[in-house]
Amino acid sequence: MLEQRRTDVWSDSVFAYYGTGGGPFAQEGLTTSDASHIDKQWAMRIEDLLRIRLLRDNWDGEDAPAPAPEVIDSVLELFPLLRTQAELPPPNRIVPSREGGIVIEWQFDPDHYLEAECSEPYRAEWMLEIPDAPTAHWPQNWGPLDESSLRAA
Amino acid sequence: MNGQHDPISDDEFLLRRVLRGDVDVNLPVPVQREGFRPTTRDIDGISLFRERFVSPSEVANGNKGPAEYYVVRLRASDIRGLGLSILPDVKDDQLPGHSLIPEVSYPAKKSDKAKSKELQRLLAKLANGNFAHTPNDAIR
Repeated sequence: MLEQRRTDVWSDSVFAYYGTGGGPFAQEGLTTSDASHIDKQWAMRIEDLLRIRLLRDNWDGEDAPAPAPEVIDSVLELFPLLRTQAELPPPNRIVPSREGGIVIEWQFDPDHYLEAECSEPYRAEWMLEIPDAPTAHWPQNWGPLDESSLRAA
Repeated sequence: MNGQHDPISDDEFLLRRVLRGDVDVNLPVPVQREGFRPTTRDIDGISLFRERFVSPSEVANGNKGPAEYYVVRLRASDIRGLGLSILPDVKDDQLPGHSLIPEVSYPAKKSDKAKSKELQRLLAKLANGNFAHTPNDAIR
């Protein structure tokens, strides 16, 4: 699977891990239910990740290194965990960082902000900003999952 | 000199170039904090430009690369209100009005990454919707 991803070619198998209801290849992709809308938003974020995976060094014109493909691949494995175990909504935005990683962002309103910065494979640095409380920071590690675990997630 | 070395007054506006990809105008806070992240070049602080001396379009086009930029406008007093400094830093290889926020530097980020992220986020919120230049302006 990882070898297939390294070809930089998008395929059904990349999205297959996200369930039959997810991704642009889902048969029910044109329905307007909330579940379908959420599926589509997750799929859009996956597309963002795959787009970022194609960046090369100096992508910003100011010598920023490209995000490492290994980081992107590990985040692709994190997504189903965020969705099914953490029950997070789809992120609002994903951007490449200037230091070879990515930043995944949720904005619940101007004062409720959550982000995960991933600069190395299988590791995220979370930041949570809520009103009337100090901003919280904590690390998270997750391990490479085998295919059956991913399908279960 | 020509005034670029003069202290920055509270009522002055500062301009910051932000990559197009770091802006989503549909979000409550459109600018991602990445737009204020210090890079390895920002040893003495992130760069801004005094609008007294340079136009937003000049700031947007000041980078040789192919990337497209928004330019956000920040008031000096608002930056100082965050507990940050804003200092003139005139350089021959920079546009006129080059200035720095020394507290948001690469060394400061290396020594306290969490604090740096929070400052970047405060600046991103301060920039909220205050666009002096958008990529579309360059097309018109």
